[in-house]
Amino acid sequence: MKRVLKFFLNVGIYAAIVVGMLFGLPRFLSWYLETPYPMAAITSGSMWPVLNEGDLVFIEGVKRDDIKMGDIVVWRNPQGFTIHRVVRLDADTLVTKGDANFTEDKPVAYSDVVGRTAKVFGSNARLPYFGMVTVYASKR
Amino acid sequence: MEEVQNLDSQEKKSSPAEASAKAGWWERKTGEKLKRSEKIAGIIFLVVFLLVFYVTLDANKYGAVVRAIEGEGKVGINPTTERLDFGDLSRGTSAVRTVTVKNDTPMPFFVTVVRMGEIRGLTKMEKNNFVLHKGEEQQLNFTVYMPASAEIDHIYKGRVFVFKIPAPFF
Repeated sequence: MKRVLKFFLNVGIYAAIVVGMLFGLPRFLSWYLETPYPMAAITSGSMWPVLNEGDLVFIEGVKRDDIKMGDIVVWRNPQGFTIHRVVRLDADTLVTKGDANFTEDKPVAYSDVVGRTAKVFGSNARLPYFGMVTVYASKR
Repeated sequence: MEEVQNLDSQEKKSSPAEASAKAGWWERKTGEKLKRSEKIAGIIFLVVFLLVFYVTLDANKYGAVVRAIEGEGKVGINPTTERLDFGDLSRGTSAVRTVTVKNDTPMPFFVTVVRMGEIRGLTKMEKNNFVLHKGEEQQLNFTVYMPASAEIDHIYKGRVFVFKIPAPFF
């Protein structure tokens, strides 16, 4: 009886840790990075070779005045989100372009910018292959 | 009667050398017998290891290479069939190479393609992760597109592995 109780207690502890990680980590990252969307999967090769398809990148909240030329920003659009580099800053809008693309995107309102890629030691914080599930799901 | 008893006692008492000879390799090394669950886990591990070893050895392996060149709309074709050589491509152009996979065995195969190296991000595939039944043949088209961010005169290399995993239940 004691062994059975111990087994269920262990299972309960492991389940609590997993659930805590699944629900707690995104909330913690949202708080720490000051954005409601702290993580994003790269689903296309438009930012190759800086960001590859299947990468999971971390997004940090950014104020309008802090956005600089060359930043990789995330902006909201009717199809979802786009992660491209800022090539021009205008008064009411900014213009982005994927590094691998030949053409610029349409101007984006500052209010549609969700954030920019978080950096660690000067490089974009990304986890290769961690976004593959999202890539696979987006192509089904 | 005495003789029989003597024989019995001789049979029961085996020397340490004989006992050591009877014991398995693991028991001789560690001094402990393997439990049944450990033996089962060991056999499962061995079977999985052999399967992975066979699939890796049996995989078709191709070297993939492409060079980014200056200009617009330029495509230099290299007709070799031994490897996935996409030749020279200027930015904005693409090239296609084909690999044929055939199943000559009575057992279905699950085919999965893995691309590695810096050419991985440039390569697109129409079809991946599918079952190939007995006698079936499939063509795998690999398309390399040279993006705007490609470095001129850089040779992008990589490897393409076509794994054929036995899938008897498909």
